[in-house]
Amino acid sequence: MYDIQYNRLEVMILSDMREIVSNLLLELRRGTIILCVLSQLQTPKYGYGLVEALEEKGMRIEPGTLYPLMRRLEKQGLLTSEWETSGSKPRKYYVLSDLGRQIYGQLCVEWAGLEEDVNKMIKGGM
Amino acid sequence: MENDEKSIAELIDRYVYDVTRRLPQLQRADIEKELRSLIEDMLSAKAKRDAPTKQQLLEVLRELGRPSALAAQYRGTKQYLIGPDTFDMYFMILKIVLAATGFGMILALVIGYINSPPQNPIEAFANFLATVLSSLVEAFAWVTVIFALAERYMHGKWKGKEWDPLDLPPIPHEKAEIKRSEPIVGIVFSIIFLIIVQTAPWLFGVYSGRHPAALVFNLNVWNAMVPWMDAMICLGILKEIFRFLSGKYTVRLAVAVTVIDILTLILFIYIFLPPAIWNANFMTSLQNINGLAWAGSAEASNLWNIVPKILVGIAAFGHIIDIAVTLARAFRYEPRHTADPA
Repeated sequence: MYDIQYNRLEVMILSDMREIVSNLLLELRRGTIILCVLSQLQTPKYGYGLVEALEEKGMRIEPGTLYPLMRRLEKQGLLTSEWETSGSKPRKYYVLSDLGRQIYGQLCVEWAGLEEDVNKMIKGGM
Repeated sequence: MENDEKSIAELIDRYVYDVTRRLPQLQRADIEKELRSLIEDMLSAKAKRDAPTKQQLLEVLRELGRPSALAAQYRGTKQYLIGPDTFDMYFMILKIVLAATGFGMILALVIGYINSPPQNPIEAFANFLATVLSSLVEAFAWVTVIFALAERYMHGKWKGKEWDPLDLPPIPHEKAEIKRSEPIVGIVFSIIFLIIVQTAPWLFGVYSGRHPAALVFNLNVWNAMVPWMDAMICLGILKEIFRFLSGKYTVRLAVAVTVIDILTLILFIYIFLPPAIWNANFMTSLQNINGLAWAGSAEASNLWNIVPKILVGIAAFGHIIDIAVTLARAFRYEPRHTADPA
């Protein structure tokens, strides 16, 4: 009887833990979205194409979040867009602007530094 | 199937419309075009070489999410009635305005009752409550509308002055607090009393059935004294207002309460001590009721003469206690001040 109770307790803690980890992981991923998106837009891509590209490389992002994000980045001046009407369906293609490339370059440098700092903290402990 | 195609097209139309109608005019056309092409892409990714089915479209739309959420993402800003930056200020101002409106209304109505006493006390009280309540609701509406407009057109970009640690208020002692409900109850009872004083002094008496057998007060003298009673009750209301606004016992409050209590007591003595206001015939009227022959005796007469003095004594006692308690609490519990004028 005590075994069963103990197992129930274990299962509860395990599922709580999983939820906590997945929430924190979500926050981590959210922080890196823009950098990843910019990295993929060095060559022109359309909305769904970008979703696929990111997914191939292990980043799953909701289309409902990604499409508006691209518009916002364009509004900020980091991307330029063009309607491609040659194919059977018209598609809007986005690519990094000049400003976007510069900023992307800077972000990459910052990312390397960030990675180093975080790793130091993790490995170095307190 | 033809039906399937049509219903797919219509569903896409509905979705796109529901998203774009929430967006500003300028962006609508472009976003609509883009959203349609995106939905198509997602759909053909699912359907591959076959014709897309309605089921697949439903999956795509569910993936894109609620139209209001998607539109919010496109907009890039969150929409609030009153944003988090301004909410604190809004709430503070709301409290002040509501308190001012409430007390202003109460005062206005009180003065109105004094000038033209209402016929029906119950109706008067109900009317009083309704008026105060509706004025409070109106005040709430105005404050909220103004702040909502500010949020709409200024996106909460205004801030108050910088916070300074020196502005921190001193900690109130737990016993120094005056519960907000107390003064409110006091005011409500005062209002009821005021209405009774104006309209129904004949309530005070001994009744046999529905007819007053013996009235406590001489009604003529009572009517003459009504302005003084009104003044007394108003002072009482004023005292409760001070207590409400102060929220805690302070020396300032104690001084105000002392002054008001003394004035109230003086008025009380002036009104109720002279024998004129008391119905001299009370005992004799009482005697006429079955089984109260004792009322005719000399004992009863003497008792009736003493009653006013007893009443005044009780009132005086009560007021002195009130003054003493307020002063004592103020001096013991007045919060210490942190700012050092050095």
